[in-house]
Amino acid sequence: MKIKLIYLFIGLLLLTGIFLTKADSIDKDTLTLIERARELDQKQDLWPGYRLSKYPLDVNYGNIEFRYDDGKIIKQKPTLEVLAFTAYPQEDGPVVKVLPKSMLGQAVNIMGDLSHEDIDDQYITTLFHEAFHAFQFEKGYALNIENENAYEEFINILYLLDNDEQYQKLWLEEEKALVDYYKNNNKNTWLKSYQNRLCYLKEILGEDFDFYIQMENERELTEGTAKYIEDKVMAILKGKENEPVYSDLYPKGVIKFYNRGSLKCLILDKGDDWKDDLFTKEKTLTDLLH
Amino acid sequence: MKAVIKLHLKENIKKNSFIIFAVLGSIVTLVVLSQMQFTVNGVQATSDYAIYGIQWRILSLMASLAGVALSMNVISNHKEGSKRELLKLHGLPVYKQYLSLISGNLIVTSIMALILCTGLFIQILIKGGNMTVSGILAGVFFYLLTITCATLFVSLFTLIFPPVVDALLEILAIALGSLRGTLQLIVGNMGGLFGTVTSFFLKLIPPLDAFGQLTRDFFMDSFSDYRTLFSCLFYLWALTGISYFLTRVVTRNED
Repeated sequence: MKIKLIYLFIGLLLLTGIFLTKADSIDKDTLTLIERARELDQKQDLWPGYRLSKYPLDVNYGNIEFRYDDGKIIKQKPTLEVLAFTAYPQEDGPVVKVLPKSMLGQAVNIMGDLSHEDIDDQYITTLFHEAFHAFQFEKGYALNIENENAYEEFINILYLLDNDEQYQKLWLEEEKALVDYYKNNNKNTWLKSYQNRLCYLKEILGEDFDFYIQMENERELTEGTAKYIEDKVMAILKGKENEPVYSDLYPKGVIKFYNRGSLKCLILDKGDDWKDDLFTKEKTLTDLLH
Repeated sequence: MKAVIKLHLKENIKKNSFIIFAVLGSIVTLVVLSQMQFTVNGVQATSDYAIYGIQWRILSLMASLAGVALSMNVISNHKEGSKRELLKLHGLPVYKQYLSLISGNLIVTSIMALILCTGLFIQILIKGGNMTVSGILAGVFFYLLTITCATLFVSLFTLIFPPVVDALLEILAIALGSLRGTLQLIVGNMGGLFGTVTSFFLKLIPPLDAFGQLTRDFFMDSFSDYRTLFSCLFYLWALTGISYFLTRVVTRNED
């Protein structure tokens, strides 16, 4: 009987603990990071016209969500039925949808090697990345995510390409040439390797070529520029620039477009102003590199 | 009950599995002593958090699997043997016998888990790091709670399922529990009925990754997440209660 009473008492204590720590506002860790990101935003000009602090942030805790809007915190029902870091267009302007830091930490720290500082930095860069998508929405540019069939078709083609050794080789050759273009301004080698890859794509994709290239360019522009912002913020947080390096590991999946787009942005940074009105020009990053 | 636990400990300490895990612990020690540097995403991870964090992660996983190896046949063997009836005749009810065996499993697995940490302890002594004694002790305590949670969950399965099904489910539970946070985000991202249902079932899996996070946070003196702490401890509390009730129900049905 005594043991049962102790057991019940412990349960009561733990329930009290859970009740006292339940989410009734944005948790302290996440709030600190949001405020750090906004502070950083005030000091930096990462892209003409882009300000993270312009967009409301919705922090989704699963059953409940809190909107951070210019210092005010408003409790609301989750407006997205999925858990995600994303930007979302709403009637009164785009909103950045995020999860609390603890959820990101548990999800990304698979090997247990990331310290709190690493996760904090990753969280802040993610805020900038997603807010940049909100900025793209505002400029009238967004990926056509509504068309699920087109995306599925793109992913199917990508799967085939990712498992094609010849294509992998051509992709890596172009990657090497792009890094060389960045470091030594060697444009011609890149143009040649790019053309080689295009020829091969035309050969194996046939009618699907135009569709695939359009999707690839869209992803490079949307995700590549957001990754470029993310990398810039990470460099500020870490206090050092990360120089692009060539890796001979072929990256499978859509992640390759984030990295390649970002690399192209870094090359473009060496030239004249290229950022103004980029999202309204109907030009791709590759067009600008030519 | 104490006599049954002692007997269980004696039997298990003689088992080959104990030696195997002692050898595994030594391998970890050798790896640590040779100052192997772990690489993460192609970049050498040299911070204390990275090096110790990865070790805690590997050790927790190994010790949880050790818990499966040790616990999987204990109840079924006891059911088949003659000790069950003998102890019953001597006045020890079957549910208490099962509870003793589960307690024995927890103790043996915890000893194994500590042996697996030999390398880590030696590394702390030799290399040191940005940790405090209280942090290390708290880290070890939560590491043992992780293993307790996994072993207790495993013991529940051994009461219900035959050993082969049981072993498969247990390994699956440990794999899912170690990636619970990542999986919750993945299924939460899917949405819809599948996402909601899977998300609910994931909540029933032991939060081994959250326990692991607490271990690392306490070890490195960077703990701040009280909500996770209370949720994990509550899960363990509920699991203990469920184990007790399930043992009572199972033995009542057997009788």
